[in-house]
Amino acid sequence: MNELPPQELGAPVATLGEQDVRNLAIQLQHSQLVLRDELLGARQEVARLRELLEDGAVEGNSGRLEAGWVLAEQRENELNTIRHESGQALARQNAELRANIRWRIGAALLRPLDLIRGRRR
Amino acid sequence: MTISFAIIDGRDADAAALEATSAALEATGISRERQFLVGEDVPATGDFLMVDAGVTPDVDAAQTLGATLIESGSQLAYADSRTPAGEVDRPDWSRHRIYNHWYLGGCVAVSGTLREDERTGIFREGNLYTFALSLAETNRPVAHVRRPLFSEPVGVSEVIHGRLRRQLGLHLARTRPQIAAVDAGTSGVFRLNRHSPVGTRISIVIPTRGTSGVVFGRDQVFVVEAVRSVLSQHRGGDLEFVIVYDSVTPLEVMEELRRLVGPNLVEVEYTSPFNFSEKCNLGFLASTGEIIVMLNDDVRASSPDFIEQLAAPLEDHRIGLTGAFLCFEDGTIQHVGHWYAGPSPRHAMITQGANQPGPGNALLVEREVSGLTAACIAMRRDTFIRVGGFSEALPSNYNDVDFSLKVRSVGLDLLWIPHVRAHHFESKTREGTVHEWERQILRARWGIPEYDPFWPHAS
Repeated sequence: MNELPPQELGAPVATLGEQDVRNLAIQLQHSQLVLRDELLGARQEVARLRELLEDGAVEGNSGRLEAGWVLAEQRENELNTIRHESGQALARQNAELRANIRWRIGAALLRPLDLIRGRRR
Repeated sequence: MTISFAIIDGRDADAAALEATSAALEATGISRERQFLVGEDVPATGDFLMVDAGVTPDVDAAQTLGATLIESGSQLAYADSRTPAGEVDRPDWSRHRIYNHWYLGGCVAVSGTLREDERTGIFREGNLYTFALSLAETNRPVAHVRRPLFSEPVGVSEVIHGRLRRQLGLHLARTRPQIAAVDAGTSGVFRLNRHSPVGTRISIVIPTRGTSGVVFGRDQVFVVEAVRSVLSQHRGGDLEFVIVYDSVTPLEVMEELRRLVGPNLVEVEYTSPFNFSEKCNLGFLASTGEIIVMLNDDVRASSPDFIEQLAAPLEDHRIGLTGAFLCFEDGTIQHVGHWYAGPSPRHAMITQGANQPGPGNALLVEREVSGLTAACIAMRRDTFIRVGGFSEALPSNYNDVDFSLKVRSVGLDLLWIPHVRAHHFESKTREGTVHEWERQILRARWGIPEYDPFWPHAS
């Protein structure tokens, strides 16, 4: 994984207020949604490429077929890399957020209130 | 040939109709000794044809339907047909449509592997609809031959409609007592009445920029009237409105929304360049409901209990997405389901008259569709998460097509509901601004479908 510039992480987590933490949690969930979409889309693309390659095999176009398989494998490798790196990054961010003292205090305070209000979290 | 005998439903039929069917069956290779009437003792076993008196199967009907049963591993196979009014193109099997529409026609093949109680029900009482409903309930496969294999009269008689209603009623009472089936005014078609979800919070996500326009001769703010229309049709329950508003939205619009909705309003300011998908995703993330409704701000709810009736079918966890009957301001059709066949996705029957049954009664029945417009859809929260929300790679066009296909790709069904109605004031004359790169994204993921299994019609 390429090293990220230091400013990408933003302010130290321990200095964040409750609203900052909530905003970061939304960003995190947003990233997870986008990642899921990309994964699902990439899987579909790989499946489509494989279908096309099978059609190509019937036609006996060996040169294009080989190039197609290389492309499909490249996409699959990219997909695996995205999945691995993004999963690690998201897990790390998640752990940092939940380890944040304000998050823990805030969640502990809000949970009973949410129960009373009937909201889910 | 694997079909070894035939059952003819000749109750209330005249001698001429019976003779026509019997002679046609004989021509298919099923001798008269191997033809039985409903109610008779049937000593035969194996795969069989079930035929209504008056229906005349083609010479190759038994052979083709029998082979289809075996090749597909199905317990029932049906086909398209001809009537005096023209050819009947049937949609593929739908485990949802069959619940309110007998659409399989008057000649089907049944596998000899059916259960003993199902066999008895068909042979003694002609309960083919009960059998089809049981197949739907238990997710057993059913095959469709996409070409005409028999000729039949138009529609079903009142007597047959009554028998269908009785079978459907008994099946629902046994398997889904919370749903009641009533006549829909057309033979072979029923309306399913469901209770609205109780105790479930529904979040309605509306992206907007506070635009105004003239509708029904009056200048109005779309988002305010969308919310007002939902509230005016609301009969009770926990609604939350999540308004995702562009920074340019006039302050007085937001103030009016606060007055209308009160504490159940969630405001999400959107400051980025236009991306409809991202707006929907951010709205979802700010919502708290177990059910999510995506609603365009230029939609106006017009049927009672609009949101709850849109959400009610989601109790069946095989359904991932529901959509409504949307009309333009002039009352013509805007949306009755997407139609995916060929290079560009389309709205079925767009701009056609809404007051008609549609091909194969398509406008009267709850039916499975290939895609639904994001202007008005409902889903469970977990469905949205499961498919990663709307693809932000498609900020403007085709995001709903992609979303629909994603939902289907995880094994969930899409249901269009005719009695949940709204106006959608999208301009009929809007120029298509679809870019080639948008088409390419869609094609890379989903290819170009040759045939829409749920919309076999020509428009």
